[in-house]
Amino acid sequence: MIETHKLSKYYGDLAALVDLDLHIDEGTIFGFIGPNGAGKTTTMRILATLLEPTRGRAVIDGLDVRLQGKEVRRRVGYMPDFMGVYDDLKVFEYLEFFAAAFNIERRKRKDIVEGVLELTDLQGKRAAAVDSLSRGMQQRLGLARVLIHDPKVLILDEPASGLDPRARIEIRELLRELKRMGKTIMISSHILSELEEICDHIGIIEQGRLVFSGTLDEIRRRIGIQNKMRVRVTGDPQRAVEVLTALPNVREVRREDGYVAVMYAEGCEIDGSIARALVQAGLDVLALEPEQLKLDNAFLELTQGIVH
Amino acid sequence: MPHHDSWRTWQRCHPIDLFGPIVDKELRIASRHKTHYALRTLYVAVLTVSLAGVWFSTVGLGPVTAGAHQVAAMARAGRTTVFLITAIQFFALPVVAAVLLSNSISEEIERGTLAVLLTTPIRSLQIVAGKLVGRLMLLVLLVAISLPLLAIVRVFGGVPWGFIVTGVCLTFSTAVFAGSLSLLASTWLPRAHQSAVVALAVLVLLGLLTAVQARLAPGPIASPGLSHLWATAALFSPYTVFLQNGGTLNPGLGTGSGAPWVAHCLLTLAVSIVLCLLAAVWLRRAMLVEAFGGRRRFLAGWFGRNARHRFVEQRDVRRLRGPCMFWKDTQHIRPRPWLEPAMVAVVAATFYVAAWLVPPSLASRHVHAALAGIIVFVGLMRTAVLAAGACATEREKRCWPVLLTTLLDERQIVRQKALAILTATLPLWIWLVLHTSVFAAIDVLDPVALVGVAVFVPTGLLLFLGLGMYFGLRATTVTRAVAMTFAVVVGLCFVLPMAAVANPVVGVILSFLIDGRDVYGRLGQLLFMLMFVGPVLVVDVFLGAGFLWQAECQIRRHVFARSGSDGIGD
Repeated sequence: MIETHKLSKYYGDLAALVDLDLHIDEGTIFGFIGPNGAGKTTTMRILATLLEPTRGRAVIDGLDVRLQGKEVRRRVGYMPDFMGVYDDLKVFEYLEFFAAAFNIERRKRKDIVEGVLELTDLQGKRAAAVDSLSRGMQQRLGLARVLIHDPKVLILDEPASGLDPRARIEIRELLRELKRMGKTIMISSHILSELEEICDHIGIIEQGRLVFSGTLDEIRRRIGIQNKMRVRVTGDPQRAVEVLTALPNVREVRREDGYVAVMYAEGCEIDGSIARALVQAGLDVLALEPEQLKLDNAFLELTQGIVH
Repeated sequence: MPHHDSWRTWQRCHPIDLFGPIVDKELRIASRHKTHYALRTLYVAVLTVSLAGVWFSTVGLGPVTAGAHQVAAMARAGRTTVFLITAIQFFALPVVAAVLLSNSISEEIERGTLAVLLTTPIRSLQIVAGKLVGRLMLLVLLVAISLPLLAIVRVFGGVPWGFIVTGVCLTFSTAVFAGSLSLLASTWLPRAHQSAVVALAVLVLLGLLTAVQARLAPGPIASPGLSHLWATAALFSPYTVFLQNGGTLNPGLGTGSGAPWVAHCLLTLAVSIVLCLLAAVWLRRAMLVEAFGGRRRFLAGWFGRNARHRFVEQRDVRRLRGPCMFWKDTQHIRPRPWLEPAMVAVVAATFYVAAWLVPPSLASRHVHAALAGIIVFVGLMRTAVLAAGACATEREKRCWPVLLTTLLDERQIVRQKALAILTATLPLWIWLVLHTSVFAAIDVLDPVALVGVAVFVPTGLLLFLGLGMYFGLRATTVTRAVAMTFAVVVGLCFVLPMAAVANPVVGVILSFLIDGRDVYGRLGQLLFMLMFVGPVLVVDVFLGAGFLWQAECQIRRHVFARSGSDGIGD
């Protein structure tokens, strides 16, 4: 659905984006992460037709972003990192204004606006002044706005920034709902734990260069936590290390923060044999779980060495 | 510890402690402003051109001749130069002071830094005094630049020291007054240009007071009581005092009696202190409202952001009608659609009643020409300022990224905004056309006046709309956009002589003054006027269209740039 080829953007001598190659499939949620100034916002602005790339090509739904801007805008809903609102308008008026700006027929506008208000749970605020809404409500209003013309692609720049935990959870649920509706979503965030819960694909960008792009499983493989189990036992952990080291297919066993970490060969189902061996050795198993992917750790590991 | 106590008291009275760190901050910021350097350069350029003009007009370029004639010519040149420089300073610097102080508090409120200041030991009076002194330092510098020049010119002879001292003191006291007023207004009003307008309006009223005093001054045989009352009334207007003291240099200007300028300066400074104290009180309230919420009262409550919130909250949801951008901007420019026509109706009624009470007024073409000139100037200025504000607001509120990802293209945006702005000034133009038609029908005005209105108003609208939109799209804040547009419009209308010929205000006034004794004479005058002004009008139309086209081009160039930001993002 979204593809970029050697996409680059320079502000004078400053390289904001260098030869970015992205591929985002239809109906997926793509998480775009990177430190401040990495080039996330620049990429999103180019895809939203707000910036011209210095070189390279970006394609959305088969349309060239630079050459077919108007057609691209029909298919894309863009939510900037800081969304300005008109303090003279009420919520309904604000959404109706954007419905008209997307050439939606007058007789259809009311139903469409009511629909997106319902989807974003803002019906109770339809007569409130836009400027009087809380930050969380304004973000939801921003999502309602980008949905007004039913775009195939949503580009959301830091939609959860500055929100309280409840508002963040609400936005997350809304994004899941949008994914179920078949939208392709590109989302950037600094809150990496947010992304790992909703994203199918992750792109990590640093200093304008894409350092990694792939699924969460691919990240696990890349940073080597794909075949790792964490075990917690009563009694002597050293005894558990000795027992588990003797198991077939186990490559390495070590103690980590009160747990015993077991690295095993790829393609093996080993959890059953681990539990059996420990019980047979007289150790009670308190916890046995695969290592969880921590995107924060992955981010640090994957960007290691490139940060100056 | 009496010694220690007296030391602390002395420290509290020390100027730096009196003004606090604010004055230091203001001076640092001022030194980084490019506009301040530009202002100084412009000021020196104006002084140099004035000096050169006076020298060539009084002494000339001919060979130096000895004797009494040359000495008299040089003395005349000296007097004229000193009067001109002092007058430029006296009239210009209070205006500059009003503009410099206009965003002093509203800027802090908008940036949300007032509540931060509340958490420091800085007193609100220190903030007010610091702002005033810090920003007026530029004026001290400007006057200081001119002092060596005035001292040199004095060598030519014929220039009393007293006039220079009087001029400088009057300039400073009026500037401090205008600055204090602007500062006080900025604690009430959310926009800098609104504060500047309040201060400038008061200066204009003082100027009108001078005109009224000159018109209604009691004659030499008036009673001593009336004369005394008149002399006391003269104290209130700096312009009266300046012109009367100018009589010492130029007898045509005033009595030369030397009005009590010391008393006036002391009075003005006392009023300024009261204004500063009031500003400190209001500032404290504004700080508390910003820190803890609540509603601001008086002007801030009527015109501030809270007032707009309240109005929007209270009204019903309105359905969108017509083109979306036009509708949205109409909600912003004219939230109460009845207000503008009602105001125009009230002003028109007041004018006609006043003119009816002074019998020959409505029969005088000059009165009609003056009215038409005022209507056209106000209408065009409002058009330009609204255009600048409407475009700059989008950037200030960071709405361009949202707007430019819709299907609206740049041309649609510019056209719909222009339509909304023109609708806002429509009541004024309807009044002008009705007035001209009625008085042309009853033979008070020549029908040529209608032609003048039909030709000059649309051209002026195109030019000023284009100018306003262009500057609105170039400037990073509404205040800057409005200030730039205001300066350019005033410059075009009053400063540049060539533009004064081209400007629509002059055109309409000229067309109202045409006296058609016979058809051929009238046609001849009309033809002359169009031949003279026509080519410049064509230039106006091209310039207006060019600015509008440039405005369209600017929209996507400055989508993200904001004051203090490179707009690069993450």
